[in-house]
Amino acid sequence: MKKLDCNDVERIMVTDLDEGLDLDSKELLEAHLQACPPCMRIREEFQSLFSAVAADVPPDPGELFWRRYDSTLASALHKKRHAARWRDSRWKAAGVLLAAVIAFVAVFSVYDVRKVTRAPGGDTSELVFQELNNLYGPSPEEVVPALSDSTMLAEIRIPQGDDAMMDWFDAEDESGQFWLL
Amino acid sequence: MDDADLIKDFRKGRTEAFSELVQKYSKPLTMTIFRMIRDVEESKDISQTVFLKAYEGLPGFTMASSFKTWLYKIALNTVRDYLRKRKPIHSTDALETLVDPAEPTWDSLDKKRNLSRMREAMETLPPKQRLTLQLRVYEDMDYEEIARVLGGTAGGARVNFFQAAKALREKLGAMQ
Repeated sequence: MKKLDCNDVERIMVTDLDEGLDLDSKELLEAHLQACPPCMRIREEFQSLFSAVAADVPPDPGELFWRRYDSTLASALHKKRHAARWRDSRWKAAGVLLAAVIAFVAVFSVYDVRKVTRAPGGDTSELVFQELNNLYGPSPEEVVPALSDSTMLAEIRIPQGDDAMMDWFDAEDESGQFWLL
Repeated sequence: MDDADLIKDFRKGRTEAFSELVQKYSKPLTMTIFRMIRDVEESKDISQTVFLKAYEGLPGFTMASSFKTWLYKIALNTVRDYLRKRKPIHSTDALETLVDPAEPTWDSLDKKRNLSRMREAMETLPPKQRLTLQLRVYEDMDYEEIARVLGGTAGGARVNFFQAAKALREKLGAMQ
């Protein structure tokens, strides 16, 4: 049968008093203790110590103490709950306010863009063509033709109204040639 | 209803569930804190602070450990903060002066003397060993739980318990 060493026994006896041992280990320990009075004495000291530690239960401070405990804690929890509710409602209000501000800004920024696109100079398409002209120059169709190219001139210089058309024909009749009005 | 169910109820908005947790743990927790700081009024205040912290933290509690382990971890950190600010441990102990009327006076004095010696010896232990012993003996925690509360491993907690018991035995000798 395996024998225990005195150096190992202390740990084993603490384990025995604390959690208990399996049967084999318990048998080994008891066999060692029967044969070793110093270890037996140490075990008795551990037993006394464990009993003393377990007996150190502070007396209950009394009903009044626990009533005060419950009431002060309940009051503190109530305040905390109230504060949390108030904090939540403030966050909700802040959220609603923020959403309103965002909506307001969004609406008015779109309104401003429209105003800008209708800025002096005409509508959006005119602005785009101006920009394209600035970047790439005018397209061949937009280049003003030479005066001799009267047909082209007539097509391109579209008169602004019926009166203008009449003026144009009048001018042709008087001079016998096309003329730029 | 177990702790997990109460926590679920609390998260669903039933605030009374938290009161049930308080009812369950307030006494043992306050007594554990009392053993650490030896001042009954301060223990009450710290214990209440622990529950307030738990109330705030409960929505974010992942339930990776038990509620008890988590609560005691909060308690330990709160006690640490308190002890850091406080002067050395009070020599007067309000609960120590209470004598059990059913006990004969001589026995009571003898018992008190032994308890006093044991408490003094406990105070000399390294904090981790002392707390391991207290959680094991008074809170009936297993070593896994102790490791979660104090940090480290279950094996480390077992070693701390053994070292604490060995040191106390050597300091006190035979207590009979």
